[in-house]
Amino acid sequence: MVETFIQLMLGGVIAGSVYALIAISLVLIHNGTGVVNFAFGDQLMAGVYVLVFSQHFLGLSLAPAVAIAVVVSGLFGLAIQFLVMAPLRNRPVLIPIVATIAIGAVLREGIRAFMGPNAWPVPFLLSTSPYHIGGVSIVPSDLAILGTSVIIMLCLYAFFEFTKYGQAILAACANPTGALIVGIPAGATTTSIWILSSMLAAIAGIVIAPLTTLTPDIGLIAIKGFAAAVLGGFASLPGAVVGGVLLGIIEAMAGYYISSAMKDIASYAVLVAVIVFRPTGLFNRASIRKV
Amino acid sequence: MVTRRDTLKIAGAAMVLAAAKTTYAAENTGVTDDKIRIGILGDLTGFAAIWGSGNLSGGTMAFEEINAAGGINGRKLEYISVDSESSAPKGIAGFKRLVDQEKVFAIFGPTSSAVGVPMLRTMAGSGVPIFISAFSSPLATNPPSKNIFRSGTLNDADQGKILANYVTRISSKRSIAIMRQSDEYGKTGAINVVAQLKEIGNVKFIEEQFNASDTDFTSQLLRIRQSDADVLVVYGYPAPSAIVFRQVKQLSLPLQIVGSTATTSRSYAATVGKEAVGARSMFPTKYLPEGADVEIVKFRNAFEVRFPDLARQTRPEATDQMAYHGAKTLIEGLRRAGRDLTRETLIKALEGLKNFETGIANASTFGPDRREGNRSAYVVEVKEGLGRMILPGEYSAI
Amino acid sequence: MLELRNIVVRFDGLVAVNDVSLDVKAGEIHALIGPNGAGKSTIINVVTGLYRPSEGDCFFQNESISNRPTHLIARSGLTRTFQNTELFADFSVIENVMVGLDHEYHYGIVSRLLNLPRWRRNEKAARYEAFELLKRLKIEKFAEQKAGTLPFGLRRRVEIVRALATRPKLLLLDEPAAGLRHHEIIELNQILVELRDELGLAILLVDHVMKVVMAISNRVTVLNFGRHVATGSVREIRSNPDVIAAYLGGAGGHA
Repeated sequence: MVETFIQLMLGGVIAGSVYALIAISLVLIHNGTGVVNFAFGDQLMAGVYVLVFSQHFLGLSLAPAVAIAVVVSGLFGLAIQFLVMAPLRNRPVLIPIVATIAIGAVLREGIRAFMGPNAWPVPFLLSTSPYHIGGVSIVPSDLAILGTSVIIMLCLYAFFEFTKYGQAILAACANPTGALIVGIPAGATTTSIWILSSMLAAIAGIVIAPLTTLTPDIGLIAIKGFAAAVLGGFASLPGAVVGGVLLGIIEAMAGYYISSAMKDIASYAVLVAVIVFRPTGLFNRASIRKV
Repeated sequence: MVTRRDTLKIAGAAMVLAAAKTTYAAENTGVTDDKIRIGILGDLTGFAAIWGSGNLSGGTMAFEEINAAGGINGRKLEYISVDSESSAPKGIAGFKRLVDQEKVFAIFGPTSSAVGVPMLRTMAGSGVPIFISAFSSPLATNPPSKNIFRSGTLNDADQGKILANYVTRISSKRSIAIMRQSDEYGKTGAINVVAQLKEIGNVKFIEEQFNASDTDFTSQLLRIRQSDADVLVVYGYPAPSAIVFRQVKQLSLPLQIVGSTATTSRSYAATVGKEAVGARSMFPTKYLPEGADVEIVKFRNAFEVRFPDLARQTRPEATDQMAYHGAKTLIEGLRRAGRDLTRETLIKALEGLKNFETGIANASTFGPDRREGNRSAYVVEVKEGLGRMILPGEYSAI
Repeated sequence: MLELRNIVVRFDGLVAVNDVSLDVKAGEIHALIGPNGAGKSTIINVVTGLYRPSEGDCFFQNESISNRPTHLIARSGLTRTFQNTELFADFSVIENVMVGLDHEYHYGIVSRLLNLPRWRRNEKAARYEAFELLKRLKIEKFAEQKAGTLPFGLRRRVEIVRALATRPKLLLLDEPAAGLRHHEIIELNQILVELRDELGLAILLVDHVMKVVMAISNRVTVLNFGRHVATGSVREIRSNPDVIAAYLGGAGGHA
């Protein structure tokens, strides 16, 4: 049935857009600093808690609360860079990676102690009542998730493609020495990558928390982002986006046309196949610019 | 000259002696003229902290209240809390610390199946009275161990049985859909439901799985739409279950949802949103923590005064309630064991509890071969405006 | 223009550069030669801020740059190329050059998205300037190719163009002729002389290839085992007995 297929596609693309948003940030940090950020899911979680805290306890309305969440998250990224990553700069890369695991655990348990282990409701931006168009139900709040993700990705694209700061970050990721020599401060670029990706973490969290509800373990979703990033080659931003959307679609299709018990197995089988047969990712052709 | 073999013999003898000493010390360890030492073991951090935190707050409240009322048979309770960090090795280490170093008389905990089940042998072998208020694996009490009791909460086997009976009763088409989490939690739950459905016979069912970190359930729900099921059992953690509840309504599926006890936190309906209206869940007692029952109101008011930080997180929850009830049941056992308190007399006293009411959760009944205090459940339904109501009818697994 | 005073560089007790002084005058091509391990590349790394000198001081236009960060040294008009090139492999050739030009052109994302005249003007001007620079090194027809896909000799030239895009006053070239064929070397010589004579650039050139060094250098400095051996005109160096002993002895064209 066509409607079933469209409904599945829609669900897959919406879930995939969230995966893509997370994958982009992971790839950005990895390419810019060499670190795989295992704290990302927890940064995402903490960002939403800042939002909830600002709303419930400081009584702010949504817009300023979002702004505070994004800024606080960015400052946290700055703190990670200065307090953890910069001192570990010359250590083997495994050490900063393990440090991110520790940062994540501290965030998670700190939030759990402070805000409690129970779920907090986070209001949706748009209505959750569906429209039915030709047998397909379309939910405005889901479209808001998709729309916000797309807008964020377009902003990132514009930033990297058309601003000198974006170009400088790309250049420093591609070749730190080369960047230094044309006058780009590579150290400052690393810092801005941590700030930028931490702000993205809060945004991704705010986008998905109404859907998933907010608990200290909401960061688990970053696993899907990792899978999407690997699918896209863990090297290119467009690859991360395609990997995310593709993962969402594979899950939805496999869940329906094979079986829901096979859904995870099918997605991870694709992932393993990619690692074995295309270790640089499905989309890492020369024509796609890496970051 | 001491050979290696001798060394082993000596070590072996020392171990036997040590073991004998533990057994000897066991009977009234932790009991003095004016004190009883109780260990509170639970997950205060990690994914299972919801239950451990409830175990600690509910337990603490009951113990503080009895101390304020003069104690038990002239003795005050002294309690030591240890965090098992949602990890089985930490749980075993914490248990040993409480028994060997802190020399407690009894233990209140552990609080999650993931930590508790791997500890069962250690706990059963220790002889230390263990009183559980939170975790739901049937293995804790079946087969029964002499020293391990549980009250208040509903075990997974009983819940599966009650759920299956209930959904069969309300399904006019005798056709059930099951959505369950793909991990151990969802698997155990679904196995028990499915086993009972087969036992009942003449019921169709379809089973679909999801991952705890999934955000989209379109594929599973569209498969269910193809069946003629009119009741949907959801067996998963609160966060993914909330999305399932919502998407069922968004895809306009004509299903009555019945969730497991995991979907009964006070803020759960709010996390789902208006789509939660009409959804039902298993609940282990007829008293809702936000309800107007006399004992519950007293408990809630005292809780909000004692734990203002938790109150601002919409607590007390069912976990706090079950722990408070469990601790009161344990206290009753200690009281009935009398002034001549040993582990043996406590176990005997607990076995003597029949329909022991606290007004907080379902009455507890134990016996010489019964360690499961509560074996029945109620159904809670979300009303317009997202308030909750217990539906009439008690459902028993016996 | 560039002055090194008594530079010493040690790595874990190993002395790579020992008390070397050197000056590059405005508008000259100054060659730095010496056998492998003489400390030539170390000196370039010190001048561009990639290494810090253990002792001594480094002046550019009479200001000390010994403690200045690399990117600021680059911005003050002193840049370089690398022996193995350090291009942005996935950027096109002209984008590589435009990154070098970037701090000359200021435009924001808003004016870009709205396609404002200021952005269009700037973008056009930057592209034009980058293209003119490519023309100067005769590689304009590769403008839209990915830099990483070019053959080695061309990548070298792209790197020189990118360096020129930062509007340097002094250019440091690390073995620009290594691996080039005969006719490419002739072209390179011509280009370097043009840069000096037409743009007034000073060039510090590190190379083994004597066809380059001897043909175009105004002055030559010879290092051996991290120490200064001699400085002088090509003719003086050729006849310096210390240099012959240390380095040139019987080596002919290539050392």
